[in-house]
Amino acid sequence: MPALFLAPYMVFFVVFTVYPIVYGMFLAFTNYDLITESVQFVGWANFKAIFSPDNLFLLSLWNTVKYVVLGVPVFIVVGFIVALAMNSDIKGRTIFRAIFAAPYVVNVAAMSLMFVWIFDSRVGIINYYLTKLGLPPQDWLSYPWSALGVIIFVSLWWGLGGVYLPFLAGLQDIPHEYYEAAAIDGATPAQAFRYITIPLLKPTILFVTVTQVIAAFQVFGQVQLITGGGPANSTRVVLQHIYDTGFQYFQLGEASAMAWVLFLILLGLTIIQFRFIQQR
Amino acid sequence: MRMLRRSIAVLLMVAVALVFGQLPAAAGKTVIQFWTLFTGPDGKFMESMVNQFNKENSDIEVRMSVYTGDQYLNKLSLGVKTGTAPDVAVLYDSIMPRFVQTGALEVLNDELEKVGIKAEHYAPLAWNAGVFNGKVYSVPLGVYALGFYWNKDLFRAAGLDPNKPPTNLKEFLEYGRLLTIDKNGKHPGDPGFDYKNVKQWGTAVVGGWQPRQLWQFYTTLFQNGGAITDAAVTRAAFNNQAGVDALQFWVDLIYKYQIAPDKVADPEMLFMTNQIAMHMNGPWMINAFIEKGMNFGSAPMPVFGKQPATWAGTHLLVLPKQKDTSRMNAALKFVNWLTEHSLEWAKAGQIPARLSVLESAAFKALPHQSAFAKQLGYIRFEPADERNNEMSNRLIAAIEDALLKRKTSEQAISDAAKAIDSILAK
Repeated sequence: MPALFLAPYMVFFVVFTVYPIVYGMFLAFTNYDLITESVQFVGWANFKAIFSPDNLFLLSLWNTVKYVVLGVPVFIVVGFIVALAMNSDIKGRTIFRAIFAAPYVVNVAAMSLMFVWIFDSRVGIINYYLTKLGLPPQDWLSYPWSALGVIIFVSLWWGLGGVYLPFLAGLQDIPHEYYEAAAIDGATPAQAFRYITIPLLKPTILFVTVTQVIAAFQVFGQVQLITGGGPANSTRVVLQHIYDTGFQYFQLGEASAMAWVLFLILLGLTIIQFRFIQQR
Repeated sequence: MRMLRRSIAVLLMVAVALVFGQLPAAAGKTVIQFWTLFTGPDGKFMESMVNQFNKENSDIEVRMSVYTGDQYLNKLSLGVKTGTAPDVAVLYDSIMPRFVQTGALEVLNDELEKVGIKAEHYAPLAWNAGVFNGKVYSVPLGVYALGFYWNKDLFRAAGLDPNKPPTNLKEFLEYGRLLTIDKNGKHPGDPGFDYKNVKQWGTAVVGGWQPRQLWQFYTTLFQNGGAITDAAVTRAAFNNQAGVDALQFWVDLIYKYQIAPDKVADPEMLFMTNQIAMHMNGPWMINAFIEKGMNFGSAPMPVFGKQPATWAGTHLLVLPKQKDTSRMNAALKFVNWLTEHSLEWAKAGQIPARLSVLESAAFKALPHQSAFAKQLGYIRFEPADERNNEMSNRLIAAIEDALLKRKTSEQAISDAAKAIDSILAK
């Protein structure tokens, strides 16, 4: 009987998730291009091709790693601070909670186009105010590092809701009695934070870190629309390259091979993160 | 209860209709499925053309579906594979071989005569984009080419004749100098010219929609007598002086002549906000500039190199192969009608390929479109090869490297040629 209740979901899950994953693995060993009738097995050729120095896959992967390593800590720290603030008794708390979470539901294209205007070097509002303050206007999207910074900033603004809401829920789950008991025993707020909040939030921290790392590895829309992978491929990310290879260059086999490599990397990272948090 | 059952039945029927997209046709009408990739403002013009056709032809009903550029080719590829391709579709020059080589398209040589479509009715270069080994696979709808826009108000303010765009390198550089003005009113080359505090630029070359940077490079490459690849598309052909000069020209506009900003900024936006006086882009921008209320002119690209030439592309109407060929005649009738009535298409910001439209007084009365059309004799297309997208991306990166001074033009050109050779060797 329970299986019956699960069936509607399971059918969709198998058809639209499991089957494509398995089929993708099959495609990774073929020369499938969406149109040619005869699909041929090519062995490991696609995997060899994506790791050749001429392919932009490794560069894209490296760019993505830069984004993950620099971006995720920022997302988590800022998200955590916002969650702490939203958990305290400030005025208009409900409104602020909504404001911080709201961008999360904005469409990535609308959000990105807005930031394209905001960061434009000649007509953007940021440079307008920099000039007003007597500072030199900055050329945000011309340099690899500032372009990456813009992407991280935009992702933070956009995804903050996804980071701070779980933290907020975690904070609200910690019983107030613990803090009262600690205060009676003479603990300072800092000590209470260190010995009550952090340990009890560990599962939340793990959850947020894992989901953020996975999500960050799959960054795509905002990069495609804001920098287009530029300047000169310096912000080209791995999902963008997979997408281009599959749907712009019609090499579905190569694209599937890349997707599988990305999947294995994410699987490995997730296992490491679980181990790391369990040991502590 | 019966009520409920009936509404569920209706809902199911609607759902089935939505899923299969097959609303029943009115009796005696031939239904033609027509797929396009015109998601922009041009889509509205195409829609009104289709509506007009349906009004004039009681025996044919054309149903248009529009897909975004990204989805379009993939949907069409799968449609061909699964036998659900439309009767008529829009393709463009560089992607044709992908569909021609896989046998996805009808060969039209014998069919065209039946509806009176003749090669000599169309601009030859556009027609030839659909001919492979003597077989005709398409009828050209229109052409889009890089052209030259200038802001007449800024020309007048700089003491230039607002009705006289530059036509050659010397004029372009001189106009550019006079149109570039720093905060003290000085021009590049004047003593004390302050490049860091320029109020108005002659033009802009880096930033905005990336392919535009590619098209400006292609245009100077073609003007220098160069080519993107060899004729058989097996190797890059721009790794030479023509290629280096073609790229260095745009670099020099920034760093040597100082008439363009060294910052990444969208030239379209700069032109619409009167921050640059000259702009090179496709004819699809005409309506945007008109709607903005700009006082601007359009002209053929100035000749920067040895010969007139400009980057271009063409929209081609094709007939994907059908199991049931009974609709082919109706489909071709529609194709012929579309090109005959492509004055409406011109208004969308395109150059019609049909000569009768190009020669009509109504088309000549469109000042911007007819200025773009003057280039039809020397347009050049990108390589007809499905790997063109991948090659373009490599070249765009190389062009950005050079424009932002991260590489010399020589280095950027040689790196891009190497990357393209390896793509073409696959």
